[in-house]
This record gives sequence, C-alpha cells and structure tokens, in this order.
Amino acid sequence: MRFALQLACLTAVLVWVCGARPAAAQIDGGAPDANDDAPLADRSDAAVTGAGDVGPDGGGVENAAPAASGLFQSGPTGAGGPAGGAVDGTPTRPVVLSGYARGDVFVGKVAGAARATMKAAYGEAALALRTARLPHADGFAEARVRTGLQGDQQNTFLDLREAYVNAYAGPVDLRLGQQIIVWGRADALNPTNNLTPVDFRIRSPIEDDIRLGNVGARGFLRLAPFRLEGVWMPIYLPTLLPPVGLPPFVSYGPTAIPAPELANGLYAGRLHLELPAVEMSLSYLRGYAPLPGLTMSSVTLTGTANPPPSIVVVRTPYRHQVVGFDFSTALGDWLTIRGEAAYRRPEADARRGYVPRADLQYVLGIDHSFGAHSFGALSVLAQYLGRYVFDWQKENVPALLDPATLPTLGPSYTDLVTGTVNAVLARTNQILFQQTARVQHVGTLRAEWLGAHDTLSLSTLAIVNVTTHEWLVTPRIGYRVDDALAVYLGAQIFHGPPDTLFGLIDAELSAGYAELRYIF
Amino acid sequence: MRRSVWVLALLGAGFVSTRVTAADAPPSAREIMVKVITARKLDGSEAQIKMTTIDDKGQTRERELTMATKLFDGGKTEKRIYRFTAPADVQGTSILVFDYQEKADDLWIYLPALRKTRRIVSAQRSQSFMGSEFTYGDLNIPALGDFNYTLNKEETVDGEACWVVDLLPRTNEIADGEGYAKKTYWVSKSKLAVLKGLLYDRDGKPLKEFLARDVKLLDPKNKRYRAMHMEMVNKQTGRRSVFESTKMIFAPKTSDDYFTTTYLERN
Repeated sequence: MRFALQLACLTAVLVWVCGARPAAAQIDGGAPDANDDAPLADRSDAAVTGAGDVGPDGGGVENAAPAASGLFQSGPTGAGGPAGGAVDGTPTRPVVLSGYARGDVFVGKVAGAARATMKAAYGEAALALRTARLPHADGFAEARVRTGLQGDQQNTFLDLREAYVNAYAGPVDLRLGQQIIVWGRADALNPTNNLTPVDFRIRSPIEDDIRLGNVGARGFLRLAPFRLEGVWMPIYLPTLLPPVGLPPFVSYGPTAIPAPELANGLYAGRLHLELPAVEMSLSYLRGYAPLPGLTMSSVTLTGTANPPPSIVVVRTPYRHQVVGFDFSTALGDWLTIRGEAAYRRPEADARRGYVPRADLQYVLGIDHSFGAHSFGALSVLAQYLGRYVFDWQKENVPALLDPATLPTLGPSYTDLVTGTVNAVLARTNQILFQQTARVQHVGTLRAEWLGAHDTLSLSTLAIVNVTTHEWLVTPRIGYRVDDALAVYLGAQIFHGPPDTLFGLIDAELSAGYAELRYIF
Repeated sequence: MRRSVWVLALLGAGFVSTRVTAADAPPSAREIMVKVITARKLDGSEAQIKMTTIDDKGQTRERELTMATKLFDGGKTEKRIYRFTAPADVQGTSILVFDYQEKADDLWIYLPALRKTRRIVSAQRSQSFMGSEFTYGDLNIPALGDFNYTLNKEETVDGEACWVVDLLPRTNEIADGEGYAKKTYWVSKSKLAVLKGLLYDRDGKPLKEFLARDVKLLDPKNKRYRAMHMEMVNKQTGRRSVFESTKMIFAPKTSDDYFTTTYLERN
C-alpha cells in the first residue's frame, strides 16, 4: 500500500507537470493574485525594467496599475532559476530541475581496537523537480540514489524522498503526497517533532539529509493572527538506526509495521499564534511514534550448535499522544529566545518493555550573532533541555547468560532465556528512549563562523548530557569553491558510558569525513 | 541575516523624493537627509533582483531573488519579504522583515534545510550582506541622530546636480558599528536619491565607493524614485558588488498575505 501511495504521489506530480504547461504560459504575462484586479496587459505596462523601457522622466509608469503583479511569485528568467512567469511576457520553463551529486568517505574506529575502518563510502545523486508556481497550486518531487558502502551494507539505495502537490484555495493551503514535516522551534532537539522519521544510517554533513518523507496530508487554515494546521499520515514508517552489535545467535526480524488501516494512522493538529513580537503554537498528536522499541519475537533452543539456537528480536512501534507548546521572541536587537516543551504519554503499558514511560521534555534557548565585515559573522545558539520521566524506575539487567552457552541449553531453558532476553531488551529500550534517569539535564551549543565573503564556514554542534555523561560534537569546515562546488571536512563524535545511547552508537557512528558536493 | 534585510530594504524601499526646484533655498545638510529618509517609503512594490559580486580576479558570483514591500500602520511600518530563487544552494531561502519606524525590526527567515521558520535578530551593521561588498549598514538609510552632517559643496554626478553631504559618526561606538570613520554622500537635488557615496575606513583612508544609476520614477503621484542599479566597489581590494533590479513594479495593492510566515514557507 505504501508503494502504491508513493506511486500515486509521483503520478500526481507528473500529471500536474504535464497539465501545468499551458497554464504556465498564461502567467508569463504576470500571474494574477487573489487581490489582483488589473488586466495583465496593464500590469505589464507598469513594470519598470532594467532594459530601460521607461524614460528618465518616468513617463512610462504614469499608468502604473496599483495592483499586485505576481512578480514576487515569479522566478528569474535566467537558467537555473525556479519555474515561474515573468511579467514582461517572456515564457519561462514550467518545470525546473535541480539537485546535487556528492561523494563521501566516512572513516571511524574498530570497536575495541585502536584501528580505523571505513564506515561509509558512497556517491549520491539527488534530482528535484519543481513545477511552475501557479496561483492555486504547484508541485515538487525529489529522488535520491545512493550507491556504495553504508554501514555493513554495500548496495544501491533509492529514495523517493518527496513527491507532493500543494493546493491553495482562499485561506486554505493543502499539501498531499510524500513529504517531510518538521515541527518545533528549538534547535536540534525538538520534543514536539514526532511526525516523520529519520534514517540515522545515512551519513552526511547536512543534518536535513537524514530525514525521510512519508505519505500524508498537511493542511493550513489561515485566520490571522492564528493559523490552524492539521496533519494526517496514514502509513507508518519507522526511524531507522544503524545496526548495533548483536550477541551470537541473536538477529533482527522484520519490523512489526502496523496494518495500513485508518485507525492506525497518525493524526495531529497545531494552532499557531503569529504576532509581530512573539509567535507560539500549541500542538496535539496521536499515532505511532517514529522510533520503535525492541521486543523478542521468538526463542528457539536446540541444545546443539547445529542446528544452532536462535533468538529473534523485532522493532515494535507503540502509539502515543503528545501535547506540545513552543514559542520564540526577540529581546530587542540583542537576543532571540526560543522554547519548546512536550508531554508524551504512551498508550500501552510501559511494563511491556518496548514502550517508554510518560515524560515531559522542555527546551529553552538563546541565540545571538557577532561580527563585522572584515571578521565575518559568528552566530551562537545555546540551549538547555530537561527531561522528567514519570513513574521512573531503573530497568535492572539480571546476571547475563553468556550467549556462547546457548547451544548447550535445550528447550527446557526457554523460560529462563526468554526472561533474560526480555530484561536485556527492557534496559536497551530505556536507553533508546533516553529514559535512563528520572531527571536529565542536557546542554547544547551550536556555533558557526561564516567568513571570507561567505565562502568559508567553521561550525559545530555540541550536545552534553550532564546526567548520563554522554556527549556529541560535530566540528565541520566548509568551503564554497564557487556557487556549485562545496567541500566539507569534519567529524561526528559520539561518546558515553556503555549503558547510554551515545555509548552504544559510538563505535558505529563516530567518524571523520570528507565530502565533495556539486549543486546544480 | 540582518544584513540582507538592510540591503533589500534599500532595494525595496529605495531612495525617493519630493521634487525640489532650482529656485528652492538651499536646505541644510540635515534637512537634506531628513527629506531622503522621509521620502524613502513606497506604498508597495514587487521586484526581481540580481546580485553580482566580482572579485579582483574577475570571478563572479550571482544571486537572484524576488521581493515585495508594502506600507502598514499609516506608513509607520514597512513589511518586506525576499525569496532567493537562484542559484540552487540558496533557492527557497526567504526573509520576512517588519521594519518599524521607532523600534527594532522583527525578522524571520525560512531556510529550506531547516524546514521551518526561525525568528532572528539584527546582526551588526558592519557585517557583509551575503558575502557582498555591501554591509547591512551600507544599505540602510542612516539613523539621523547617529551623525553630524555638513553640506560640503555642490557637484554633478552623471549630469545631475547634487549636494555633497559629509556624515560623521557622533561617537566611536557608532563608528565601530558602521565600520567607517566618515561617509560622504552625493544627493540628487531633483530626486533626493543618493547617487554616489565615498566611505572611509577607521584609519581615514578611502575604503569603498557606492554608485547608484538608472534611477526611475516609480510612483509618479508621490514622486517616488528607485535606483535600478547599485554598485559598491572596495577601493582597497578591487572587489565589487552590483545589485540590479531586473524588473520592478509599483504595486500598492500587493497581497497582504505575502507578508506572513506562511508565505515564507511556500517554496
């Protein structure tokens, strides 16, 4: 069903593209706006162009039409710009293609050894298609093909990342199709952002590259200064994690995807209040969480090494409700203040292991920009994040069975092994859900210096959990050789005790990298 | 991003004027600048703009954007929205500005890579705008109270009679914020537009030269003009930046909806 919906989205975009051609020609004379009340020809006469069709005395604009021109909605007429209409009647392309090609090498360490190893090495091509922006609709689609080594897989990956159509009707905006939705006003850590998943296996210096699209509908009703937003994602798509080391005889089974039924969809609403001095929103979401927990699917004890014993673990999503709030405002010309909070209440009982406990997360941050022309610009953003877990209790791991002894255990040990595995998974889930303490305190700092006429950037994101002693730092140097070619050198370093999330993924994800990216 | 606001503020609002005639008594330097500032507001406009930077080796970089402006609150607030359309790496980046007469501006930016709108605050006025030779301060009409003004002489620029006005920062802090020890403006008598500027560094040496050309009458009723072509040349490095309005239209009824964060996110 998911594939069928993706295909339908792509088809819709293509149909739209084909249908847009004659319509695009119509707006080449100046796309009418909702408030537009002047004939196109009159508006064209009103245009002042660099070609000098208006004399120095300005006589050529005496008949200027006091109406919206559609010029703002149009794109440039030069090559490489987005589709759109020009007010001088020059036809422009109804569709514009853009994208990039990138080559990446990520080198990390071998777990438990002082050796380096290749974590990822691949080439990726992205192709995006954008239709003309018509007064009442437009379309967009992007596909990415990646081939090479990614984690423990050497393969070719194809993602139809987004494919959607926007429709505009008075105060209503609707987007239908494969799309990525991001909520929240905090930086990097957004407790209200639970709509579309990410793929942590994708390696890239650009944070947005790991986001995954999902099929759904997103609508806005604009009633200034309010804006009401609704989201429906009918198909579940999980967040993907890199493979972490599994003990011998333990393997992952297929993810327990909820059946594609209406009752299993994700529904969310958000009420925005947007004032000049402050903007804020209140949100509610009900549906399956993007990050599933782990459950044991089966235990097969043979008592022998051949056939071997088998323990199958599956990723099992849970449904939750999230109430969120966020805001941002400015303190004069000096600081921006932003905040975000979310209360999350899983619907299933947390004692089922793969379900987290209810928690409250809250973020408060400030940012400021320093610098002068000769120095470049330095922007700094600092945040505090707190997390309180309700009814928290530590998941204790019993004395572990040595997995190497599993072949010696016959079927009569099934209950013992099952109990042990479930306890281990409960602890692992607590780590995945970042609920290893009742109260956690996290600090984040993002700093970026942009200099050499905006061609050279030095940046880093640092996250420190002072409660669990985990930290992440992502230093990066970027250099724009020209408008098309960019070079990135950097590292993504995770660190933490073994029973923490960053500790678990350190060996798999910590790496230094180099990237060349050509944008067109 | 504050820088972009000032650059585009200039492009969007332009230097406009009420006509003066040769028979008028010569105004004081401060009166000239008051008229420039008072007359800068245009009821509404839309434009396509190309920004080009050329370094001393002849290598060029181009940015293209569209823009809309409109006055609100009886002219006390000018709202502006800018959408970068090319090249691909900046395509979709949009900025919304509420430019108030008597308090700090409100600004929002939409970055496609973030997929959300973020409120931002003003950066220092001496920061470069998008890597160009213009700073945010260059492209803003100076705050009247920040400078002492002297009417130096009268000259012609491209055949237009101009007043030559010196602007000296009143304090070292203002000079540091601007990045200049002194600014000299050539103001068109007929259009009250700044046609030329000479900017001195903190050591008093000529740093940059500003040139405005192709000044068009956009609002005949109120005699409002805009420069279609603006150029800033760094006299110490040879690097220069050009802002060219490839198309511009007077549009007082431009849609109010443009000046909302919803429109920022329409990409």
